[in-house]
Amino acid sequence: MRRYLLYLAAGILLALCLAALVTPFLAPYSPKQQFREFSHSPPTRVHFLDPESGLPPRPFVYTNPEVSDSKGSTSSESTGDRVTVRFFVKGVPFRILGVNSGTHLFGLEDPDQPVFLLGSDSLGRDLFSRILYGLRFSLVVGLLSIAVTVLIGTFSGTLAGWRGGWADRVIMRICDLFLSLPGLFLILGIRAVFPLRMSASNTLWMMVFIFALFGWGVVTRVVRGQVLSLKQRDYVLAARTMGASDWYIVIRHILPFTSNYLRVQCTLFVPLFILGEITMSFLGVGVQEPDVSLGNLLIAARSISAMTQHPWEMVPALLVFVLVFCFNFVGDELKAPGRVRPQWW
Amino acid sequence: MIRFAWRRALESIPVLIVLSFIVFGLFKLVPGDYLSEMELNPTISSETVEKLRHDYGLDRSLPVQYWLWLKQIVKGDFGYSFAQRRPASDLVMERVGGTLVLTASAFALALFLALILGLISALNVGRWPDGLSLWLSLTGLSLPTVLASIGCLYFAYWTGWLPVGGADTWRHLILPSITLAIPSAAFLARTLRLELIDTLGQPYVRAAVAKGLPEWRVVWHALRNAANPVISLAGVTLGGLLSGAVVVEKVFGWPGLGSLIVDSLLMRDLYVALNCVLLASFFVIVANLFADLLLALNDPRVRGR
Repeated sequence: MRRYLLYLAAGILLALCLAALVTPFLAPYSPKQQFREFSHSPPTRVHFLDPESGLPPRPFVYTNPEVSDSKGSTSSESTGDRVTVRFFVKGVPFRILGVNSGTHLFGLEDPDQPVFLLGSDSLGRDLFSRILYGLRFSLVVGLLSIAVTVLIGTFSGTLAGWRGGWADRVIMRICDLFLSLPGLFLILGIRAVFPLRMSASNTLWMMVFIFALFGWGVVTRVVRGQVLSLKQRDYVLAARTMGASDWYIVIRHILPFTSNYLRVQCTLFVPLFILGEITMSFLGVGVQEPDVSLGNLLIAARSISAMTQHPWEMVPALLVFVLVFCFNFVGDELKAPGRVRPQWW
Repeated sequence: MIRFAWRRALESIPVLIVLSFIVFGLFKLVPGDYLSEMELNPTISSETVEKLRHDYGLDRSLPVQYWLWLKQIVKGDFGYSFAQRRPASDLVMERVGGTLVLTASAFALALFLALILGLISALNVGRWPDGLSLWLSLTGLSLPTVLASIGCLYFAYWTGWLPVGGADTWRHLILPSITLAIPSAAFLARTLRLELIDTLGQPYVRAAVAKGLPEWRVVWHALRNAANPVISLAGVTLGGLLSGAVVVEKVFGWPGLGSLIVDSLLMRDLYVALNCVLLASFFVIVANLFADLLLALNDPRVRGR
């Protein structure tokens, strides 16, 4: 049972990562495209059955999506022309993995007509597209940060452990220092140095820089410990007597053994970094409008009017929960497989 | 014990010094200086600014500037907030209490919840209460402060039982503290559970059970031993609570240091923001010190080292 849940969680994570990879293809619109006349419009109902014949035609929507009244409830009857939802339609051009394309998974024939799978926000932007792009940004922040963190941490940890002596002392002192500094407040302090409004890519690199600055110490410390014990193994001595160079021994005989720990550390750190991004953007000192990230989207979910009148704006909160939950679950299973209870208790 | 406390307190001094270096470095990295804002003001002549710059020591060498700034901070002078047109010390004094009260109540709540959940879980390993509390704590762990605050806000709005914003009565404190306590409580509960299960498997517990000691006494024995890592981790979460308070204060409109930092950042009142960062970091370091002392108080083995 637990094992299947683990697979489920890992599967969800994988699916979300894939979705982030091909976001421009999955999202029908660009995250900045506004349909001003459709502010706060509820999720568009996609009809799969023809009301007259009762047969399933191609899915369609009505051009005049139900206008939301002040209470947010939608009128049951829609009017207007029927527009078929098409798959693989041409839309806003984009570029993924070096391929230029303009094909989106689905959309309406008329690109000026919106189909809002998850409703729209106050400026009439498609929430479904925005969530996908936001997820993409947040995941990229998390993954890039962990890559940089692990790279720096492994390098300095190996250096400290392998070399020993003054290199070890200096690195570990700096490391201890960083570990004893309060994270979020210094992050906010460092944030003060950068301008308030930055482009999305600059924000991305700033966050990667900040998170790596606070993450490398943990990795360094553990890798150093492992290298210290690994370098006294007999096979290392054997490799050395056979004339292997330092580089060769470290890369072939030492580093592979740290991968187990690194894997666990990644599943613990990635959600932390993603949450860091979310917190910063949520506080308004991270990604700025009109650029989008998960934290940014949560700002709208915070207002009372979102809760009462346009609840679809709460969806990002749900997604963040699922994301963090899955990460925690997988990380937990990797870290400590289920314990058994002592027999005499 | 007192010797240990002294030694531990002395150990945190280098950290504080480095922290002040870092914050001072950030000051210097921020474009412009403390008085650049004034130069833009047409009603203030450039001579006045130069004179002020001299008075503040901004034309002196870096070490002197650092020394002057540090003296100022220690005296409790946090500079002047140009955005709010008030001395920053007033702002800080108004807010510090808020943050400390919020953090303390959340800490107490987190410990209480963790103790209950962890005990229920560990005493029923493998049965449904354990499963339930495991799921609860996993859920709580996946509710970062941002989400928890949105959830609590929704809850308060939906039931109408508790006020959602402001800081007038003790009722205003309930929701923010619950929000802040959730992730820490979950985290501590899980740690306590694992530790308790391990401890209950120890031979001395077996011996105690075999001797026929009443169950609650056995549990008490085990609890004291299992509490060690939990207490040291609780200290770590105390620092985390101070940080988490930033978000909670912002969402619930609770006047505290964290929201002051963020507001100052957003208004580009950077000198106030950085001074507050220093103060808040100081609190975190003190909290860590406090955690270590707690640990030493609970476990004589720590003191000996």
